[in-house]
Amino acid sequence: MALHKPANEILVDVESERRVLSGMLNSEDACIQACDILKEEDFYNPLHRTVFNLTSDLYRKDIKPTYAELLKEAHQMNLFRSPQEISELSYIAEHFIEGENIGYWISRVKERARLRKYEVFLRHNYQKLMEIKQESVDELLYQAEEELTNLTTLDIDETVDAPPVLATLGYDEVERRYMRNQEIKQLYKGVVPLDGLPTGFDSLNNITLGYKPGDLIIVGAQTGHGKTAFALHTARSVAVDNKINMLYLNTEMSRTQIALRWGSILSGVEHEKVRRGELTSSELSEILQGYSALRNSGFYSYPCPNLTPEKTTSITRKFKVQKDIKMLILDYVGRMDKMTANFAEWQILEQIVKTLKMLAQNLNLAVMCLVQLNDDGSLQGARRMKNECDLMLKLVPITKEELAEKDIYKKFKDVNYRVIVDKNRDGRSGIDVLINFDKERQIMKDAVPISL
Amino acid sequence: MIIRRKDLASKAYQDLVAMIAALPAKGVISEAEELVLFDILDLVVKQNDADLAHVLADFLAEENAPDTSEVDEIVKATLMSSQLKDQKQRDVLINLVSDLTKEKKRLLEQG
Repeated sequence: MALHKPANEILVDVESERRVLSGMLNSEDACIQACDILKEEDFYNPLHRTVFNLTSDLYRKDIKPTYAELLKEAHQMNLFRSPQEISELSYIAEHFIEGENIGYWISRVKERARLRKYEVFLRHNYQKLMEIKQESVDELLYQAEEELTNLTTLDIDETVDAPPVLATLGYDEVERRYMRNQEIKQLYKGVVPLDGLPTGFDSLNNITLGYKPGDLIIVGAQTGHGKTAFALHTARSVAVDNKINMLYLNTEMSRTQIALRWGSILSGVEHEKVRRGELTSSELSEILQGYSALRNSGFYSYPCPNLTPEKTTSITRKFKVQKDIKMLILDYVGRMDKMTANFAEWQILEQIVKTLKMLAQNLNLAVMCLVQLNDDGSLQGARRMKNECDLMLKLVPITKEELAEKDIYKKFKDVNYRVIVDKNRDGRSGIDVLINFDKERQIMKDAVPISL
Repeated sequence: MIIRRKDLASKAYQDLVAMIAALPAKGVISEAEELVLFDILDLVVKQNDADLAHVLADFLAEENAPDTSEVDEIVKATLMSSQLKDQKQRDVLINLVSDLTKEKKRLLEQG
């Protein structure tokens, strides 16, 4: 007869816990992954829990969590004073293996944590079994099944919504929106309340109710037709005007180019003049004021010419942990490095877009991804992209002929671009938002109707 | 399970951290001094910035004498009150320690 393994051997894996913590003290990538996936209670050993908490806190505060930093933090809190604790910490810190698969150790820690929850489930249900009354068998089994289902889902924190739970959730959400709508109608005289982040255009706010957490927004434009201007206009609205933290990944422009663009956007001084430095002293003063707004904003920029989907995921997770960003803008997807050389262009785009959608959902972020339109205004792999995204916008200039021919454009003072809402999962689509794009100043705004 | 150590530098770092961590309990250094030592260690090992460590080593290489005790106190007090993670404060500290090392040499030569 086979001998039973001791329970501790099955339920606890101290070595894996040490490997994860050691990884966190030595590698930023390990820190990002562990902070993202693990929780304090996933560690069995109380000392390991404390180390995990302190290390995660240091990382969130943007302090590199070295062994020395960990001890500094701990000693200030009067922790880890005993020789046994120091010896365990020393063991953890020194057994880091470069290039080791941290994902493997994290999954082992997570699995043992789930097994411990399973053990609690078994004990708890055994207790219930011992106390059962004849008439409550169905209820007992139903409760056990529900509990077990939650344990077996991939993410143990996800729960299956029973019909009453979902109905309550739906009703509460509608009621919340109704109350807020009423309140804002009274306070702001009919301005529609946003569910997500401001788009920077009143008309687009009305249609979309803002860029919502978990949304993937695809913005397409032909080369030179304002992709980056649109991205930075969004960034201005989110990070500068509303001071919400966001991350901007640019695959084309240098740090200096991005910084100079802001000078023009925030001051209203023509970009060419900013670039050449041909400025009057009052323009210089306006530009300085503009940069002062940028200084106090939530705009985090990461220019990265050789961006890959993996790097995008990693850097976004890092900023989510450290800066609690609410939005990611990727400018633009066509310049991302290929993951698989023998894939067709549309397959690569599809993979990237899927990655971004998962990122949006997993991190509860609004993700905006800029793509390039073909000369005929179509989008490569458009159907697949459209399937994945929640909102698809196309930025298209209006020609002089169109302006002269179409009556709708004559109702606006300064319209020269339209944002086509090609797909809108939560609302109306197939409509145009008319805007003005001042190319010289790189500024976008709603087109102003001519008052009758 | 096979345990491999990353390299000797890493091992030396872990040992030094453990050693420094044990010193306050033995009454050899204060907790504030412990924090400064951790900062210097991280600067050298984790950030590969040995400038401060070099000037401190130069300073310590000079022998101590009653005449130089005041200079020693100034260096220690400045070190303890500086934010070593701040590059600007570190640069100021490096200049100060360099100047005071010269002063210490001068005092020793005079004495």
